[in-house]
Amino acid sequence: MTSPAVDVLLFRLGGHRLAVELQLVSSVLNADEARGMNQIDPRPFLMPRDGHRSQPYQLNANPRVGLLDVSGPPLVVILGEILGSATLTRDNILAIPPLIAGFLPPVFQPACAWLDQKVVWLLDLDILRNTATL
Amino acid sequence: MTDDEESVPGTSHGFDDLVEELGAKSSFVWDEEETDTKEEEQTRPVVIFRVGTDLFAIPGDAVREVIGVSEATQLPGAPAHIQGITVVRRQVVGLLSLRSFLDIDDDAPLTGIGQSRSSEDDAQSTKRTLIVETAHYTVGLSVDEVTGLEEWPESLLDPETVPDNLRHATGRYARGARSQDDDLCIFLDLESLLDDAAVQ
Repeated sequence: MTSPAVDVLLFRLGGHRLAVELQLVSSVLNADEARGMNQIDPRPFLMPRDGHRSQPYQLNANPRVGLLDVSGPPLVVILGEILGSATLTRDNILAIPPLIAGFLPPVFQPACAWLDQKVVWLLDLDILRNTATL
Repeated sequence: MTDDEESVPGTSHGFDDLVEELGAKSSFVWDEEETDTKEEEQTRPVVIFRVGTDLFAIPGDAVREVIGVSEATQLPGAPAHIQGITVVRRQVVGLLSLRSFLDIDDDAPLTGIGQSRSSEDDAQSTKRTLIVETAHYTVGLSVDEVTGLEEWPESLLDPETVPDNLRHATGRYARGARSQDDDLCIFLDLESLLDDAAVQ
């Protein structure tokens, strides 16, 4: 039996390294190309609690968005800076301990990836779509 | 049975008998007089560390290791007292800032006395992360300096020894206290502290 492997799109947004399942993103566009499309924005979920950062993270000059492979009107998710892609296996995944798992917003999987000695948060696009305000 | 065997009593016995005999005739004799007069108080190992100007102690058996300042990855949605996470040998460890959680202010020492003592450079070079393990949590505590490992008499691990004038946040978890030179070292109820840190 082989271990499951998931291809992911890696990006940096709000200072965090994030990953989404590549199969859910049909293409990567720039902001101009996505003009007029519905957008979902992960940034409110990246912020610390307690209001010690009250403003959402600013986007860089040329943020990228991901066109989601869903039915209905075109829908994009804000990605920010694209870092590349990778294939995650069980060896890349680390469990989040109880003390901090409770703080992680529900749009993230209760685990993280460990790639090139860096932590990558796993963004669940299905939950984000249902949670984020369009 | 031969004559030889009769002349050596016990040759028909086995090793078990010999071992039992050994147990019954211990050659070590306690000095009962000394034992009676010196009833040693039970002690408990504690790790002493400093955050700001405040000294704290936690159970020594809860400290798995002491590492240098580790690179923290910011945690989305984290409160101020969670500095982030770090990865130690492929284990994700949450980093707890006691300075933030206990409202430690360098300008206002634990009991309102004492002075800030470290320069900026000194503070950087002595900073450590204590990886602590309790029944429910494995956490990294960010501290300014680990000052030692001591044996504390059990009598000190009594809330009655804690002065009343501690800051509220510290007093809530104080389960003992000991004077260390001019400072006061507070023994923390680690499990209770981590329980609260996990939900606040």
